[in-house]
Amino acid sequence: MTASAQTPGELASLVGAANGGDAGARDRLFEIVYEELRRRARHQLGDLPRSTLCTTQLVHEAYLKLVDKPLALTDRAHFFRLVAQVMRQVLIDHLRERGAQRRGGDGQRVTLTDQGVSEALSLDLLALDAALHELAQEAPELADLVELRLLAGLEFGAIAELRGQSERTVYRDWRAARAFLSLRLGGPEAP
Amino acid sequence: MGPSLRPRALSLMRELLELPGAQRRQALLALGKDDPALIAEVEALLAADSGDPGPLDTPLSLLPASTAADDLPGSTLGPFLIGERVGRGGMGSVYRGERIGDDFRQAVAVKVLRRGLDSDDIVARFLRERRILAALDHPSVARLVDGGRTPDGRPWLAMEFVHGEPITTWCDRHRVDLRGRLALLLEVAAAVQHAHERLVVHRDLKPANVLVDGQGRVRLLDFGIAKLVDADGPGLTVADGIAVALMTPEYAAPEQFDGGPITAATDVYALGVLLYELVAGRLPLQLDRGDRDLRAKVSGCAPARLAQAPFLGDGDPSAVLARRATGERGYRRFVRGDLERIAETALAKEPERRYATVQALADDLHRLLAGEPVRVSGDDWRYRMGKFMARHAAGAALAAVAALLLAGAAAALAWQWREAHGQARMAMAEADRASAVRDYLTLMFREAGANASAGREATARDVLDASAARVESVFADDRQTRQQVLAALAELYIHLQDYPGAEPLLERFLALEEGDTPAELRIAALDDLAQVRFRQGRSEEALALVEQALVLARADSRAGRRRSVSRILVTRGQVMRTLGRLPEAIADLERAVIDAIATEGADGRQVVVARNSLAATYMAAGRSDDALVEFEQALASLRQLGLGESHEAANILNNQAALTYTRGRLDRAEALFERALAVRERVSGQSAGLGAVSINYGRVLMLRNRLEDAREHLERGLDLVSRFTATDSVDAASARLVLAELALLRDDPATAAQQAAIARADFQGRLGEHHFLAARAQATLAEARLRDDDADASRLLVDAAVATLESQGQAAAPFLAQALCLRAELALLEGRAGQALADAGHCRALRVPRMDADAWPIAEADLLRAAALQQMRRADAAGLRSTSLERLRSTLGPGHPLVRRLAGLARMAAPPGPARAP
Repeated sequence: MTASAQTPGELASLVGAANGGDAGARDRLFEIVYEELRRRARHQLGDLPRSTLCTTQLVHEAYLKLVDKPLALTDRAHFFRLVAQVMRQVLIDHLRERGAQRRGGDGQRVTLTDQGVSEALSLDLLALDAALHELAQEAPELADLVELRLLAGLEFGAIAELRGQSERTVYRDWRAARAFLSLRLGGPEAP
Repeated sequence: MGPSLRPRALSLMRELLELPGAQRRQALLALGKDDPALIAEVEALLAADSGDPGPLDTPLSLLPASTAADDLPGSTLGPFLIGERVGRGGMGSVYRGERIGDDFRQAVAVKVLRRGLDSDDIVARFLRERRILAALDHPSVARLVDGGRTPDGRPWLAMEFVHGEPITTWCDRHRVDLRGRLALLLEVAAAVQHAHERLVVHRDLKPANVLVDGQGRVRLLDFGIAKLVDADGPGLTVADGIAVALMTPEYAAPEQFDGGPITAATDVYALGVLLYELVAGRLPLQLDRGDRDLRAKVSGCAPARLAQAPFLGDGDPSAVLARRATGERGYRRFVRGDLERIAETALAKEPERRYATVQALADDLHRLLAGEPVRVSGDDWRYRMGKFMARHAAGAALAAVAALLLAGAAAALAWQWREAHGQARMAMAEADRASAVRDYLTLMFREAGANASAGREATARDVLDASAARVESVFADDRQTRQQVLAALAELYIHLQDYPGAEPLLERFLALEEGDTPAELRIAALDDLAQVRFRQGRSEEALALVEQALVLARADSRAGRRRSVSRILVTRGQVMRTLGRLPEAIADLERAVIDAIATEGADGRQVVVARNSLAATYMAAGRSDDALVEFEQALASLRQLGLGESHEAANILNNQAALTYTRGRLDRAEALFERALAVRERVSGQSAGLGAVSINYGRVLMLRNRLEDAREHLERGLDLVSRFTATDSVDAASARLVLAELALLRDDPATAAQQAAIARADFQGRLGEHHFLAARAQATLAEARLRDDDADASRLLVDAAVATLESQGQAAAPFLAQALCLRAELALLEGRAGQALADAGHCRALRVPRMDADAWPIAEADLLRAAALQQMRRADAAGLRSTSLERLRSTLGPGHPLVRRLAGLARMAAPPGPARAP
């Protein structure tokens, strides 16, 4: 793969170009990030179906690996949006592969990595993906927020900075988006 | 599928979220009154907006399907048969395991680390630490039994299996009262203390790891495990908002969030959280998982007071109190005051403000239960620090940097105390006070080392700044020890030549004086403060202090008297020299040398100090041969003492180089300054002293025609002396003066005039209107005017400078010579040959006794004389001109701008002849 042959500073200039509307740069960037995340995900998961995949950690590692010099704010926003989208793709691809291997499984669950996790807190990732698609139709900016939060693992403060909004606004929007997703994913109140 | 939604519902939802919860429904009805479908949609959204954290509140992770990990049960790991999975967490999964021997069955909990934590590094660390963990042998600590790797390579740990319940829920279920809860916590503390004594810090104390078993005994799990997983990995790394948490934030101390050193105090904090939770039924900080900046909250927010905690939030206080078999009044009475202060101390944000040991926390809890007054902040500081140090000094926590700093500090301290102020001072100080001072500094340097290893190189100065900032609060109740620490810190600042840093400490020392301080200490402090002021160019203030110190020292009847007097005489001699009172300075310093030899022998350190000052004063008086002898002797003594590379050696090397320079030996001076610079840098690092040597070296480089190198050293020197003395200090003004000369060589009279004018003003400000250094700067200003074709201004300036310098005696002689040669040049340019000849001759006469015969300044004076003779059409001009020009070319180099300028001057002064254009 040529994608991994990345020279110092290349990523920053790619992000800048992609942010400026260069489709070629965007494709190449997607390729680089996709490969990096896939590689890391494969490494984390191994061939065995028993490990967890922590997206935050993946993104964090990929960021440290790929971004060798600080990005400008708008470029950083662009980069994380892209990472979130790539991550979504990586997860879906991973699940599809896995699903193909083990037919009859009722879909993979995504869940918290924290201590004391309980099964009740898990999510159906494919359902989430569908719900996110729907949210993107209704309120694209909320879908963007969800991606940055859930898939790129950014904190609200960081998202606020990237979006040029107050943290309070971001958090309010997050609650709206979360309510929407909860409904779609069959939250307790859903009919 | 839920109800269909429209964008309008979402935007309405966002508006409603701006309102307080109670008003939302009413607002919704008002806003959507003609659209019942919309209202239904938004109501569904509002209902789904639960305050409880759900799966969406944490960034996504992929977990295996629930059956996936279960191929371990039924297999064996090491000697253990693996049973069902009993838990799962971020670190991995826990299985029940059993070893079946001939006559025993051992139940264990087998923790299998999750993939991603199975690096060789972690495994190696695990093997290394296993022995240490296995050595924890305490009834309340679940033992580490075994460990290894699974067939697919993941590390596993087998721990004693504990049937138990988290301490918090156990207490609630058994309605344990507050005293009972504290008693249980004391059991926990005893186990943690046991581990700390074996240099194991838990790092992840929380109810899930603190169980109560069927017999009601406390059992601690996972000791040291967090460290195995999380050694060099920072607990939480933040890069552009991405955070990776590897600990339990609710129980994590602030230092765990920002990669600070993990010490016993980290566990003290977690015990504080546990204490708070056991007592109040809620956590000290309510963390909204993943929602906010946890780090900022944990380091920035103070917990609610324990007495109020149960009554805050949504919970039912009466239920909380009922589970503690108490009522509102009983609760408040029990926690108010001492218990609150204990919790506050354990939960302090800064590790050093917490209880230094778990034992200290336990002691206070015991006292509280026994109805005795607790100590909290009034605790004996030295006892606490002593314990703390004993525990951690051995813990290899000292990074290499800290070890070096510590060695430096200890050596400096030992010298300053024993040598500089005499044995008497050491003997006078109570041994325990001295050790408190040492412990304090040791602690500071240890912390600096820990911080340094966390990414930043701590300088000795950083450590001092931190120490000085804290000393007042640390020794708030012990004035005498505080004075001693202040004095010791001040001496370290002086040692680093950071005089503004030392000054407030010494002033504070003297302000704390109540007449009960040993005379030696007081004399030393006065003398130190005199030095500090003198070094900052405040000679008159210094003189007043020195006289005070001298009166005290002479009245002192103790054995150290003569030595103290010698030391003070050195200070006075230095001040006198700077004030231009050379005969008095020489008398003081010669006396100081004699006194020092009488008390400590010919090679003592005080002798070295006195000789160095004496030599510098001989130099100022033009007695350079005498000076050279003193320097050589001082350096020989230092080598004898094994101090060839020391603070004092650096000073003397610098002075020797300066002497060589003033004698006109530029090549040798350059080599000596280079050496002085190297030694100084090794000994002091960034300091005023290094700045001063840099300035000197720059001056020599300038004359060696390495103008760019010269500029670099001069600017560095100016920066250093400005930072460590003052921007308008004598040293800084000296740097500007040389920079002005450099600008003249580079044909930039405007810059030269600017720098010289600042230098003159600063010399005047620091040393007085008519000080010879101010006159010296004025002469340079005059030269700048001359190069700028303003001969009138130049003449006025140089005449005044000469007049001042003529009135200043020996110390001003080298500068007078320079001003006279400048005036000769001016006179030449104006065709006043007689005046030029007289001034150049006078200049030469002043230089000859102070310099080697072939020194370039003498050749300079000769060339000026030749030019004057030429102008007077004297026959002997040509010979003098060619020999002096030749000498200048050979000493400074033919291409040196100074040589070119003087050569041009000589040509111009030649009488117009047929061969030359007018």
